[in-house]
Formats: sequence, C-alpha cells, structure tokens
Amino acid sequence: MRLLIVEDSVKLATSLSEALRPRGYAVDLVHDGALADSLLRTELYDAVILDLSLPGMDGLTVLQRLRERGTATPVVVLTARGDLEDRVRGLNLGADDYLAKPFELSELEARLQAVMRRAHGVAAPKVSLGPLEYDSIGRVFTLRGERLLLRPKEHAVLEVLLLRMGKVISKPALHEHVFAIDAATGQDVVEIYIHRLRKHLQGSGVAIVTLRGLGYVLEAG
Amino acid sequence: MFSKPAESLRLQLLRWLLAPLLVLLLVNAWFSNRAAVATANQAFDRLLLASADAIAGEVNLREGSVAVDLPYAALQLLESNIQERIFYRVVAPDGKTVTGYDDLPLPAPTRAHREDSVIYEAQYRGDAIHLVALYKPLYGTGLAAPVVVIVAETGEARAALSHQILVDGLERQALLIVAAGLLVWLGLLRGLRPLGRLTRSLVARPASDLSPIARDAVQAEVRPLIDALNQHTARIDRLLASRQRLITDASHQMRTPLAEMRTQIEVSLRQDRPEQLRQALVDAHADIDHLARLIGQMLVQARSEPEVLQDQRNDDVDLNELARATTLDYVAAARKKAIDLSFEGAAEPTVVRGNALLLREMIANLIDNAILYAHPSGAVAVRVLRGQRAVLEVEDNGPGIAAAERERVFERFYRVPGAAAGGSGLGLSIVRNICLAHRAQVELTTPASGAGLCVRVHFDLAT
Repeated sequence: MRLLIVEDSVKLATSLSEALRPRGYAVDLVHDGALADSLLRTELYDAVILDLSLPGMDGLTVLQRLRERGTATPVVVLTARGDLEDRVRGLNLGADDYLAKPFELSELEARLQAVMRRAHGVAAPKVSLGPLEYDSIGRVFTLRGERLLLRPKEHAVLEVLLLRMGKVISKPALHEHVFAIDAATGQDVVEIYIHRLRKHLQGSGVAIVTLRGLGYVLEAG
Repeated sequence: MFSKPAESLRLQLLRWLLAPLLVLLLVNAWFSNRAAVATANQAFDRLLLASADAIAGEVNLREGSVAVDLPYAALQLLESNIQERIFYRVVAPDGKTVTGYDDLPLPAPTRAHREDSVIYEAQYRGDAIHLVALYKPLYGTGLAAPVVVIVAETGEARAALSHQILVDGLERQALLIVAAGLLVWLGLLRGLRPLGRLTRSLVARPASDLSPIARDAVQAEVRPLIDALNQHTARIDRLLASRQRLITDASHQMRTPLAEMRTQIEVSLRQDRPEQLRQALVDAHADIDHLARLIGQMLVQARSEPEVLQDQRNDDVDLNELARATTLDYVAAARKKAIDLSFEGAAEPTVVRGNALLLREMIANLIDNAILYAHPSGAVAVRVLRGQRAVLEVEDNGPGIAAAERERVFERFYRVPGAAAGGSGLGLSIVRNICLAHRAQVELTTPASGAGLCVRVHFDLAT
C-alpha cells in the first residue's frame, strides 16, 4: 500500500511515517503543496494524508486539482483550523474523511483503513480486533487463534461489524447489508443473529454493544 | 453596500437646481414673449388710434360729399426710425374711398358700426399689417352711416419693441440663475465644512479610540448617520472587549496545563527513572488532549459571541437527524469510558429554524460534557421530543450540578468547585450563546432517577 503524507510540519510527518511504516505502508513524505501537486500528477498512491495549511499551495487547492484530474485516490484531510466550515468545504471538494489536529494515531489508522476499503473495495488482508482476527481472503474468523465456526448470515453480520472499525452500524443498515433487499424478513431478524454471535463471542473479550437508538458496535473489552 | 457609487453632492444639487430652473426660464420666456407682444401692440395701437382720430377731425361735408384735408402731423405721429410703411384710407358712408389706398381691407362686417373704433390685423400686399378703423358719424347731415377712417402700419416697430422687452427680462433672469448656482455652491462649501473637520479628526484618531463621535459637531441632517456609526462602533467595541477577555482568560487557562506538563517532564528528565518518565508522558498526553479541547472550544466560543451570531444564516434543520448524527460522532469517546450512549428521537421530523453548524456545535458540547462528567460505565442519553415545542435533552448520571451553581455554570470559564478534570469551562457558555441566537431556552434539571444532570433545550418549531 503506497501512502503519500503531505504535511508541512516535518516533525509530525516523520512521526506519522514512523507509526505507519511498521503497519506495512510504503510512505512518501512531502512538506510543500506545489510539490505534492506535481507528485500526485505522476505517481499513483493508494491513499493520501493531506494537511490543509501548506506552503507552496493550499491543501484545498491540491485536493481540488487532484479531483479535477479525475483521480479517485482516497484522501484523509488533516487540519489545524478545526473549523466546521472548513470541514464541509473539504468534504465537498472530494475529501474522503477529515481529522482535526491533534488526533489519535489509532483514529488516523482506522480512518485510513476505512477510506481505502471504500475506495478499493478490499480490506487489509488481515483485520483484527483484540483476540478476534479476520482473514478477508480466506474469509475465515479466528478467535484466540481458533477458527470460529459461523453460519453464513452470522458470518456476514460479524464481517460487517468488524470492518466498521469501531463505528456504529444501525439496525436498518445492518439488515440491508446482510439480507437481500427483497427478503421478506423484518429488521428484527438482525437481533437473532446478534444474539447468536454474542454467544459465540462470550468470554472472549470481544463484545457486540447495543447503543439504543443508534445501532451496534463491535469492541474489544 | 450601495447600488452605485454616489456622485458629488455639489454636482447633484447643481444639476437638480439648474435643470429645473432652465426649464422654468423657457416657460417664463414664452409667457414673457406674449406679454411683451401685447404691451407693444397696445402702445402702437394707441398711436394708430390717435393718428386716425386726427384724420377724422379733418373730415367734413362739402357740397354734399365727404371731403378730408389730410393733416400731415397725424401721419408723423407714426413715424419712427424703423423702416415701416404706413397706409390710410377714408371711406365715405356710401362706401366710396375718399382718399388713401382704396384696397386697404375694412374690418369684418360683424364688428363694424358697433363700436367707435376697431383694432384688427390683416394681410395686405404680402405683409401682415395692423389696422385701426375709426367710425366718425357726421351729425346733422342726414347721412345714416359714419365715415370710416382706417390707419395701418406694418409691424416692424412693435416687433422690435416686444423683442427688446423680452431680451431685457431674460437677461435679468439668467443672471439670477447664475447667482443662485453660485450661492448654492458657496452654501454647500460652508455646509460641508463640519464634515471635513469630522473626517480630519477621524483620520487622526488612534485605532484604539472607539469612543463615540460628537454628534453636535454636525448639522441635524447628518446626525442620524453619526448615531448609526456610533452604534456600529459600540458593537465593535463590545466585541473587541469580549474577545480581549476571552484571550486573557484563555491564556490563563492554557498556562496551567502547560506549566504542569513542563514541570513534570523537567523533574522526570532530571531523575532518569524510566517508569517516572513514562508516567510523565502519559500525563502529558492527557494534558495535551485537554489543551486541544480548550483551543477548539475557544474557537467555537469566539464564533458564538452574541455580536457575531446576530447575522447568522438560518435554515430549516431537522433536530432529530442532527442530534442523531452528532450522537454518532461521540460513540468512540463514550465507549472509551464504557458509557452506554443512547439516542431516542421523536417519532416525526422535528424541524426548527437555525444554523445547522452552530446547532451541531451546541449538541456536541452537551454530549461532550455529559460524557466527561458521567461515571465510568455510566449512561448518557440524547433525546429529541416534539410537543408544542421541540425539546433536546442530554442526560447523564454523573455528579450533577447543585441548584445553587446552575446559573453560574453558564459563565465563561466558570467551573464547579471540585468538578472532574478535563472540562474547559466553556461548553455551557457556548451552549447558552447558541441558544440565545436561536431564541431557545436552556434549563438544567435533575433526571427522574434523582442523580446526574439533564440539560433540556426548548426550541420553537419551524412553521
């Protein structure tokens, strides 16, 4: 996975690359907007981390020009401005996600994975949450190294929950993901599978949490 | 602000004054011309009549027929230095011309005999002429009809006179207009002088001087403008003062965690004990989060000052959707403290008028506070209720706020004594500002369970 980090603070950019390289990313660093723009014309990246306040060329302009060239490379925007209007502008210009400085490294990693999965349709080959691991190529769940035997619908529900990376999925959205649109089942059928999955995960430290009125989230205790 | 740049007041006034005056001058000239012609006609007609009268005096009956000895003095009356032609004709009662030009036209028969004299105009030998016909009855002669004496002249002299009357009048009026223009110019020069003085004093003012401009220095007409300017300046002054307080308070608030961090790190570096270094880093990490939160809230606070919010943009906002989306943003933060975050929307869309960005900021602040103060593994509930009004409720099961403190917590940087660390003291102040801008009321209550805090915001439903 090739990653471009465009960030004028050398210290922050270096820390980020040090954190991301061990996760298997090939990271390039640029500290200047104009340089980033010319690099993005010739090189192909799987994702870009883009700061907004840059010397040379404003980050929003870099983003705008990237999108005008028809490139769909996922972009996570970083900004110190923390302004809601900025966020709206950035998302309108085609940013895939947005993080205000300062942010948590784990948050950045999760967002990065999420935008790449959305853009390229593939998850990282191995996704894990605590003792729960998922091999997205072999489509196999393992819990503490032991293979988890799930029925197809249970598998589908757990896959959706794991790939959301700590984000909530509402009951209607989960239902839509797992069941065909014309399925004659009501949304409450989701609860049956959640109930069964909870039994599978019991005592493992991984739990499906219900947030009333919001949906479900998978978390490691 | 203005649709087009305003032009010079002097030019504007001159144009508005001179153009109508010129039109009035033209109208007046037409009337003056008529009056001048009438005056000239009257004067010259009187001369014609006098001349005819003199001729009539010499008319007598000689041997049964009318005879006249033409007095040359009578015709001399009509002489002037203008080349004019004079005609006369004396007509006997039988209609025969006694003397003079026998083709000189008679007055219209309808007017004849009814008056002593008739003044009229006619075409004669290719010229417009002015004529007077005088009827002289010859009493005691047995002649029924009078003798008619006609004297006529071409109109050059009267045209010259009326022309002169007109030109003299117009010259005077034109002078008046020029004088009026000059006076207006001078008056404006004088009238604008206070504005000039005001401009110079404003230019010389230091940037920090936001005191009101003296309204007595200018004329009554300009005072509303000065008042409006003063009001605007006062608003800026309040905004600046509020910003200044915010910066002062905030730098104070930021120095504390910075000092903590600095001291702790310095001590750890001196002592070279790995576990203490690690603890210092962990603490610094938390302090940095606190600082980041503080800075973020200061920005929001600065943008939610009542002076700034006065002209915010309003849209229809579905409180249900907005509250739900904002709650979702806080799932990660809530789960980190193992807090059970829940959302309960109204059954139907609950639309209020407002600025979605600011309302989201307000809801975010309430949820953020609730998560901060809720007990670990506690619960935070976000609800939207729709009745006569729209109600947003954010409830936590934390320590709550004592009734005595409930007013003060809305003050900027006020923190309840002994409250959990991490709060900036800005959250509720921001909430109140945004509520004010949306005509919403915020109240702090104790939840039905008896513990914790329930913040309730009442909005008017959009109509």
